[in-house]
Amino acid sequence: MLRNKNFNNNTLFLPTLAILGLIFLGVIPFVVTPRLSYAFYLMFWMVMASSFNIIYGFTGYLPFGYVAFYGVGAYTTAILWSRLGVPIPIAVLGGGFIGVLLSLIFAPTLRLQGVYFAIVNLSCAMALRIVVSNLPEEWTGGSLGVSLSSVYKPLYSYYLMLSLLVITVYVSYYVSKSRFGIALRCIREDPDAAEVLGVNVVRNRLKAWILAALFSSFAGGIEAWHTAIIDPDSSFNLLITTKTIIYAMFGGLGTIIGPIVGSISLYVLDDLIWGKFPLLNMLILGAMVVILVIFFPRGIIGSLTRKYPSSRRYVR
Amino acid sequence: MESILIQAIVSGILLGLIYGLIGMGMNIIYGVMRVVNFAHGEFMMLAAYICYWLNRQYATNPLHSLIIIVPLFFGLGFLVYYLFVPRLLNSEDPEMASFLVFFGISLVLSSLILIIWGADPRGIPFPFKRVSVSIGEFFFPLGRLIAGGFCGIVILLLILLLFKTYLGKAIRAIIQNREAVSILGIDTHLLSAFSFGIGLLLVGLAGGLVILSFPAITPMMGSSYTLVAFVVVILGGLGTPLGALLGGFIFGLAENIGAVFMPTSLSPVIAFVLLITMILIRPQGILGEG
Repeated sequence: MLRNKNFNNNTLFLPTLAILGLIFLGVIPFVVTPRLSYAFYLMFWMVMASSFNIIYGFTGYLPFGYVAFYGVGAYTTAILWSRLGVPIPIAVLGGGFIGVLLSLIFAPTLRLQGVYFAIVNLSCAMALRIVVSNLPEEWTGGSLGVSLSSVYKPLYSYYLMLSLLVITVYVSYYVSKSRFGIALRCIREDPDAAEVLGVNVVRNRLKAWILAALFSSFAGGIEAWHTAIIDPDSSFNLLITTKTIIYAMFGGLGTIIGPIVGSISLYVLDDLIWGKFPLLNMLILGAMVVILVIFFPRGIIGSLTRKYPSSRRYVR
Repeated sequence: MESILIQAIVSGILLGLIYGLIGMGMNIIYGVMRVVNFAHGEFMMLAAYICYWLNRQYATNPLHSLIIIVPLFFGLGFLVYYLFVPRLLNSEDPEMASFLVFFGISLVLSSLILIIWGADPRGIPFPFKRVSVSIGEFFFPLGRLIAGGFCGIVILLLILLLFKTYLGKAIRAIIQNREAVSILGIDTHLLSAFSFGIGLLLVGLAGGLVILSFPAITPMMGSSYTLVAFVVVILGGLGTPLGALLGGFIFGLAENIGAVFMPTSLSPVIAFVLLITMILIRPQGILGEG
């Protein structure tokens, strides 16, 4: 009886939290308009960290060139809209499509493991940046980039990002609970053992890879709409990967709410530091990575669940 | 056309020696302790900035500043090793943890350099009387010739160290099997710290030489050299010092010959194409095993 009650409690805990958060984010535009962009970026980082979590936290592949998907999403959206006149929502979808295409091109690198994969993925992203900045200027606008200012509608892009956030979190929740998620965790722990147990390693990790690519390229497209300008330097900036990794790790990889908690706490902190000491920002970020990895490799949520094992069911 | 190509090949080999030196440092560190030094390019940049600073203060020739750089970076290697690596080797996934920690260190180093020296490109007055040497109809930049030649000597010394001395034998042994080496009664921590020192020493040398071969240094260049080191190391085989030398030549030649046939800004792509091809046909690299 008691067990049963417990069970009811923890199935309700996450959805309740999610709905409260959703209502909060949904009404923000009507309450604090000037901070719209702040809330937008908060959601943006949650999407990035959560989708990154699918491939690194669950599956154990660290894509150090994760920014490539974001950049490709942003560029595709901007080019589709400005050069071909495609309506923005469809252009964003196109960005996701090209992002998935890119993930399929990069898919052969998934046969590498550990740091090897991370390094190669980073190199791929850097190569892509060089290729994009060398594409004909009529398409990409060269180093000046593309402006989307005439279609700038912050409120619309805000709600689009909110919907993306809901979908991303729901999908990673679903992944975490499903057989697929268990398969991914097996691959993370030991790919050979997983293969022996009948897990189709190649297909499962490819699915996770595509999911991670899809959400981050959507995020890139919507962010391009929200800022209304893109250029090669900011769209392929390694700092995007950096922050995604740090935010996800700080919260706790391999959990659903870890990346969310991490994004909220560090984005707020980052914004404060950035505002007060812009030069020290990178220094502090770097020092934070070192401290995190050495002292708290499991992040906030991971350390909490380790200390209080009974809280585990609330976060997975 | 032919003379341009020959010049490209020569400068590719010269740069290849520098790239090889950078890659060999990274590979010794990775081979010995499975630590990927993501801050490799930043350490190199630090050496270049110290050379620049010494030149500004005391008007030293960068080759002379290497007398200070070499012991300094060797010591720095020991310091960094004992500060971070033993902890990392005890963590759940040492390779990944070290990768992330050194990434953090690279951020710290590059922002420190940015704070101390500012974002403007810095250069030193060219220390030699002649800028280029002509052999027949070919012209070669003197700075690169000297840097390349110097690298060649250092690489020879390193190969002698690795293959002709007891210490080198120990380093090669620990690359092959860490546990076995510790069973044989070799102090693995001391040996690892020594190897880390060698790795940073090599990259410090490369930093001093880079300031001779390229006109300017910026606080942003560190990560691009880290990337060069990655490509070089993967081409040659992760953890094999000689492979890195080979990878360095391939990268240098590909970059320079590529620049003859296509726009300069696009020439790095050739190296990446090589990288991807290598991964598809031989993921462990040219000299890598298994």
